[in-house]
Amino acid sequence: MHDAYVLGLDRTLDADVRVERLVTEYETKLARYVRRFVSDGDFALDIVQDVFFAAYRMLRSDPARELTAGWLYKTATNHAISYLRKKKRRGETVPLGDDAGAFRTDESSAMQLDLQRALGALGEEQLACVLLTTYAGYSSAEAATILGTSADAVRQRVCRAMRTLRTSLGERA
Amino acid sequence: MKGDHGRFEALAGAVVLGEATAAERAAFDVHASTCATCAEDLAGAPLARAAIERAGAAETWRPSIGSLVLGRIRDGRRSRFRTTIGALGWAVAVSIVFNVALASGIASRFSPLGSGGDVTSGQTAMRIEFESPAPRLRAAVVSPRAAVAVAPRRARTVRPAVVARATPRPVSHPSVPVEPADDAANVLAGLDLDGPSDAKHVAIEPRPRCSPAAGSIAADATDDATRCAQNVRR
Repeated sequence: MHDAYVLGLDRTLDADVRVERLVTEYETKLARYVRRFVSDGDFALDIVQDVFFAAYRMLRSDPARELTAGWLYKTATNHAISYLRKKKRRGETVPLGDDAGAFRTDESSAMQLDLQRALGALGEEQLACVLLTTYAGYSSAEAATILGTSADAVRQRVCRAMRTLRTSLGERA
Repeated sequence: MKGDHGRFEALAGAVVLGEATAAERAAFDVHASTCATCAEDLAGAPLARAAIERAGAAETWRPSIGSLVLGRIRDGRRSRFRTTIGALGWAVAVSIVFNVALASGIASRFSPLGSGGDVTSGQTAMRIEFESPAPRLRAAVVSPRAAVAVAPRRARTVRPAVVARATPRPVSHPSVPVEPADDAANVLAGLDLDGPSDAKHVAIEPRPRCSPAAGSIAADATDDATRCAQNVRR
């Protein structure tokens, strides 16, 4: 259980010290999750910064409040969905092959790009369910808590997303 | 039937994620034996899941945003500190100016009617006093035979008091007797009671003509006269 680990456990510490520990622990995991979500490394870093800063503000205003990893992923997911919706409204697309910031050279294999393209074809809710369960390692119940829905809904979305991915990836899958 | 299929999709998801119980797995297998779509889901989903997991395992991207986040936090803290110090500085400065103004008496100069005082004109003397906080003009005519006058209109606040205090009218022709009642009227005219003022009322109270003090002076005069007559007789 990720949420069993209450972040910033020592509440006597200052908010900035707690956030520093939080950043050390979660920056890579969260940044990778968000990058998969938005297909853009630079925007992923911006979003993750915003998430940690929101955590800092929350801890400063209410030091007694519990902060869980689930809260971080929930906030990051909401930010990422907002970003994708804005991009869709503006009619923008990020060409994966040309986006140097999104993937490093050693990851820019055809399989990675195909997978990213297939993930990009999913709807926001299906994408969040797939990434939270198969990428971030949450159970369907935990993902349901993060997304504010039921575990059955998460499982259903995962099933449909897998069907779409299988079709998109074809033989590579 | 669509609702039933949705239930089996949820079961398929549970199977893919490895969360299905034995009973759920058995129920789904029974359904998948009669449903081609669910059978395909069951066969293909693990492959898609494996592709995602492989991609995650192969990932080498290690962003370092700790310094950025902490720098942003430090900037925010500095900004808050500057704001607090600025507000405190302003408060101290205003307090100092206020206290210096009070201590040096500057504030009393801005009193609308000054600090009051005595006004004399001919045989009429007036004492003007002010009451705080709402300045009320109270004029007491101490000369004999003064008329009582209550002005229904409000007195102007600044100018009349200054005029009354600064320029008491001298008696230019002492040989001409001046009626006390006229003097009282003149003083009232000098106060310019026609203008508007914050004063609630202006009342002129006559002091009794035969005060105990005046009686004692008269008695002293009688004694003196008696003593003179005795001296003459001697």
